[in-house]
Amino acid sequence: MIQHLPITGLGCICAAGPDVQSSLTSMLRGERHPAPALRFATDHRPQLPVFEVPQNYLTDDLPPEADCLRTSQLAMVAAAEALRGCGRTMVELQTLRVGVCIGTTVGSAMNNEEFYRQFRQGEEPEMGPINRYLRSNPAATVAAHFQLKGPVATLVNACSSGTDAIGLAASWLRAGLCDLALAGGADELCRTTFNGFASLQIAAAEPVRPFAAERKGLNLGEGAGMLLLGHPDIVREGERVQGWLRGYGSATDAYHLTAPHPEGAGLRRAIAEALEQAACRPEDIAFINAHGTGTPDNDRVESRVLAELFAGIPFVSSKGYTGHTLGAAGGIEAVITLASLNAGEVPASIGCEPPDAELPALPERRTFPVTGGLAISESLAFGGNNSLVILEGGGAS
Amino acid sequence: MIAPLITGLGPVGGFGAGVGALRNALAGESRPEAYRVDLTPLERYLNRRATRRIDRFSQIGLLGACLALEDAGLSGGDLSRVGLILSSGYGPLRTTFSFLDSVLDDGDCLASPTHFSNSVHNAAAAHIGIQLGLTAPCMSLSQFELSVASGLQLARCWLAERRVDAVLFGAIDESCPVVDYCYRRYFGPAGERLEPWVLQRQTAVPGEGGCFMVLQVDPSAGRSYARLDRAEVCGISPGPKSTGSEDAPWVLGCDGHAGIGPRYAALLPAGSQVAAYAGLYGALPVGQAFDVTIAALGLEGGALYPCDPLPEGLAWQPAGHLGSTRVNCLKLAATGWGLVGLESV
Repeated sequence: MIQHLPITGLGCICAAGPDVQSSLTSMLRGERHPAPALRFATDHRPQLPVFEVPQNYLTDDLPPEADCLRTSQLAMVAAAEALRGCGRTMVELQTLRVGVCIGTTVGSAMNNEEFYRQFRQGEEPEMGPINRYLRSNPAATVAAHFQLKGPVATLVNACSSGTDAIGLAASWLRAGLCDLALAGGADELCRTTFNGFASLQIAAAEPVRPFAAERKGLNLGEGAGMLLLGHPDIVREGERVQGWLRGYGSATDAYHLTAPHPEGAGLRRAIAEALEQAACRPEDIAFINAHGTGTPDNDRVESRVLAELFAGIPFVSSKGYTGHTLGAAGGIEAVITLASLNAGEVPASIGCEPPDAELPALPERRTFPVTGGLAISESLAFGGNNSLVILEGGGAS
Repeated sequence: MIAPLITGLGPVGGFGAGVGALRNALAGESRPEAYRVDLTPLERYLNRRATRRIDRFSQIGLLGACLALEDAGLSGGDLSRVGLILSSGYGPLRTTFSFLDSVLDDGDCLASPTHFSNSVHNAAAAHIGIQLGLTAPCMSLSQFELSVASGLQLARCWLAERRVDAVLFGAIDESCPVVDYCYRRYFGPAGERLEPWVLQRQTAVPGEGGCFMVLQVDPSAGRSYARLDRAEVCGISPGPKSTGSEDAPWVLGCDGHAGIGPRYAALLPAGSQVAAYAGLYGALPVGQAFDVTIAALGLEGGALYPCDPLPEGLAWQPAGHLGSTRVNCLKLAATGWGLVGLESV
């Protein structure tokens, strides 16, 4: 069975930047700008900061937001960059079987608050928000926008959705169901989700501080990250391969709806599966982009597992630059991980001040050079899902 | 690719819960008075204490999951290598709106964490995993009418890769007043009876239910209903160009939507053998899971169950006794299609 899949395109839009290179560059400079949401207001005081994508990051060729959820708009921006990167024309791509697999949370939720407020007051709300929802299932919308004729799947595995989408797309390619596959995640900031995380008391009123001693929780973010994966037989001679998907693993805690297993049972199983598929050992990993949400439980469990399974291997959380982008996180973080491998340096884990001395492993707080060819992007999710991908930098295989 | 066996079924709908209830309804011995799920049978598997904080959507899933595992002879066994794939068209709508109720009634700062956590689309899969001890890979999908074919396609991949020994696949959608309102606004006053073969006129009645199945490549013992021979999804084209088994009968996902019905007529050539069963389970995005289940039962018995008689004017033939060893289940969506092919064992 084919194990290692070439990655021929990358795309990213997030609060750190409108594309892959600018996002990585701003992270390497240590820039971050969490602030109260501009797109909606809430009663929370103090206001909870978020990582919002500036409107001018979105390109002009998108369907209007009146017709299309912002989640799908974000997905289209990242998908367009990934497709451009592969060096094929759209006409060429449309002759191939190109699958689209996108993870999301908000992009699949029928939760328009104003519509529902009017409905429960006995009014007759207009159907615009429902029309928009029905037209905006992310994978189908991206496939339609670019006229891509492969399989489509929209995954809703909460915060591991983007990572799982990459794993699912890899399964398609191995099974011969498509020639290329766009895979990743997309999510928008949403008042309903914002209130939800606030209700769980895991949203911080300060900029997120993954693995810090007095971490107060996460900041929500938005964006999209996409990889264009290919079947090895479809990659043309001379085509630039930006990296390789070496392994994917996932497993479930079956422990608690909102808390990770205290010993990281599912995460350990997922790591074992990914390492086996990648045919590599922990010591082959150059660095790990951890889930690192800045919530007390997540960071405690993740630190424990990383300390035991990847002792001495540097790790970071990139959520300090992007916020927690939920269904998009796995896509954005896989893109940033691979871009870091290819750039030869990894942005520092920002916000870990002072570090939590009780954690058995702590992230790298300075930008550092990459020594090795493989890296992990890891996602832990609501509901106990644990997923990770093992990526190899371009040109090494 | 590998064609796993369907070794357990767990249908839950207005007709009742379990294979026996569905068979009775198909045989015409009982007819659902409404497309609403009665969750009382869940108490046979889980006590109320275990489910008291679990929303209705997830409880439908738990009931379907327990029934399917029991039917496959896997209840109480080691489920550590049983993957879980859960598909839904819309997700847990009632819970989503209950959360919005808490925001609108009590304010942003007093929103309900319980409703929020249950409203997350993979909460049902998480509840099933926690209650039944499923620790293998778990995936939730949500893509309207394509959700079922997409989930079954993934199940085949997982089994082909030997990531798991078995897949518990489930599909759930629930009704709620907002869906009823949307139907009224889009289609006018609801009719009383869903008529699958009335393709040009809106007769859809919203339904709800859950439909689960166990898929295995190497079942150690017990019976199997059919093989999952094919599962394909496309997001943009009007319908599949070829199924590879054109002479096989079709179970069509016609569920009374006038916007979709004529496309079935345009796709399938005259003389095709067809059946449609939405009259038993109602109009819901994951209705194709019921079609697959009914087709599997038909393949096991050598004949598709009778359905509403075909009216004059349709150039198709009613499917009945199976001359073919295969059945195609086709669901058309607003854009795209999902095709599931079954083969007799």
